[in-house]
Amino acid sequence: MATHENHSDSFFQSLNKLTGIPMSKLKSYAKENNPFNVLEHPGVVEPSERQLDKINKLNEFIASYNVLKLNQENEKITFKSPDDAGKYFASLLGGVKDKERFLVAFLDNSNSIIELKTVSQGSTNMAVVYPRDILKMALANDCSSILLSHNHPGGSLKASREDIALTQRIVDIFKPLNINVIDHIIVGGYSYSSMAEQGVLPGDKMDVANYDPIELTDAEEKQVEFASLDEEMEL
Amino acid sequence: MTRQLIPNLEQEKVIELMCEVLELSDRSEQNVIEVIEKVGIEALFNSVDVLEIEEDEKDRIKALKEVIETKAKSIALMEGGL
Repeated sequence: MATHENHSDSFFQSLNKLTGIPMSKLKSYAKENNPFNVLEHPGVVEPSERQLDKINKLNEFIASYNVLKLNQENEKITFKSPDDAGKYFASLLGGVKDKERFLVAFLDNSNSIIELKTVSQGSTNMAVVYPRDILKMALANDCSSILLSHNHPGGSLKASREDIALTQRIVDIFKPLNINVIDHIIVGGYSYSSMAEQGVLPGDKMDVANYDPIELTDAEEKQVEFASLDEEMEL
Repeated sequence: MTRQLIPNLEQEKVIELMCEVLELSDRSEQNVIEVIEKVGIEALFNSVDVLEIEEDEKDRIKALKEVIETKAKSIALMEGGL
């Protein structure tokens, strides 16, 4: 019973947000009636003309949406290659220059997206990623694997030492749970690179899982330092 | 050709209705339309968090998702004879 009431409450809060019909009217109606009748028979809550117009639009939307959803049902977003993932994340992060954003896609066992979340959003040169938050979201989604992505506001596509270390930390946390980190896509400008494709995605190496927040500071500057070090070593 | 056009027309209609229900700002509306065209409408509902729109607009999209899902559940319950 309590669950049903909670269910109605969130439904009414949503309906109130979308139509402006007062919560008091909705709750009063629901005391003795099926709360979901409000959509089919809006007259029962005596809506204003504007509220009635919103409900009618909402009903029209739901009907059209269900038809479209049926048509799109077999068009789930599935990643079959680093290229699929790169194009997808570039469409979301491409051209973002004013801030660094870190996204995580939670995937089912066919690598289709269950949910996509922003886990961090910082300034041009700093963002903080909280591994605990990613873990909570992964468990809530009951996912089989995750795919990471963030943008480099400066446009570089090369994974920095910091990017690799961050990915390693996340791999270490998820490995014991049999949740694979399948790739980490870096978006710069409107292009992308895949750490898996470049062979720098951390794999089975197990460190002790560390849940402390991860600061992504000056990632691109450090990448330059890293590249310089490589060059020195080569010399 | 016709088969390709029909889903696009359906999608355009859904987008138009959704924008009317949500009353997004012009900038946000453009942003949402671009995302739907790239990833589809269902993926939009699973990606609200990453949209470049105001928080109260995100709340309205989440509210829309809640209404759709609740209605679908209530229909499923009725069809199940519960």
